[in-house]
Amino acid sequence: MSPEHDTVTRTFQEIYQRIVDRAPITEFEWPPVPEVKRATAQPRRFEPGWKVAALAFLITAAFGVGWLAASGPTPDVGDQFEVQAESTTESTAVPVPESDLPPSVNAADAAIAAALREEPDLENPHVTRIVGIYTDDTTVDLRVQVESDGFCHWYGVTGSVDQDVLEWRGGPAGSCEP
Amino acid sequence: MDDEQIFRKNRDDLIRYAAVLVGPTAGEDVVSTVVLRVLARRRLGDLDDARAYLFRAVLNECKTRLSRTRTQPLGNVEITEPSVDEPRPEVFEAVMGLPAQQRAATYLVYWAGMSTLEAAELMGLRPGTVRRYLHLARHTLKGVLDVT
Repeated sequence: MSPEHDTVTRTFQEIYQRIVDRAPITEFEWPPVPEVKRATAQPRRFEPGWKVAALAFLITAAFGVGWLAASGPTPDVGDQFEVQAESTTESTAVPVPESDLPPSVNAADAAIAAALREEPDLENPHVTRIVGIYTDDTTVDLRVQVESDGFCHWYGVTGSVDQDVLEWRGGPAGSCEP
Repeated sequence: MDDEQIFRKNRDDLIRYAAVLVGPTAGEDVVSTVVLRVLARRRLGDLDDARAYLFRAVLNECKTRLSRTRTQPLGNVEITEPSVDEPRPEVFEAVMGLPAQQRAATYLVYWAGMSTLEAAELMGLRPGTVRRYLHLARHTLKGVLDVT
């Protein structure tokens, strides 16, 4: 390795070491407790039922009509839907037909991240459309339209109950669909 | 191995990883949030590779938080006058200003000592993508360091 390579590598190591040294690691707790809960000691617990209700509310607001009312508690395979995505910073909740606890997919933020990952110089990317189709009982295929400087890019994702790990595939830029 | 053992085994690594991505004071909160979210749906022991799953989940959570705040975690790290051995503040800012994916890749490879293949597995990316992140991050830092 060249001296230049060594210098850059060593600099990364030193900076990360400083951060790691300053990261407080408290005593092990099981199950873990988020810092915000530990600090505020909120009386109400974050129950799954509350989460479902909040998600249903978000979906209702996003669609204009309630998802649950529109397609029943469990959407059928092949059902299509569209989410109005007006914000690039707020989560866009997308239902997945898991029977007991429908998780949400932060589709807008994730699509923008995917867009910027593939094309780092995109200017002011923002999500203009999210359409999806249920592919089986637990998964949904989403297509997210990211608009930037008058051009649109479609990104696809297969969402499942394991929503913490998302794999996005990019699409070519093209005209923006109305 | 039960869920508690899995978490105990990986917790400190995950906290350090999150700290590098969102700042040292938020690292533990990120990890707790992610683990509780996973546990709400399934057991850690049911995952094929719980360690990789949690690392990816932490990265996604960090990216979400950064995109919400639109700020870099500089405020959580005190920048003092540099000593002979410490990086200059502008160098520190350059590293913390890197996109989260680039910071994650450089942390895993340069600090944690992983190969690009190992880092790629934890990040859920192809090795070539990790190498590209390393190249971009090094290019940025090289410009700030003004090394020739």
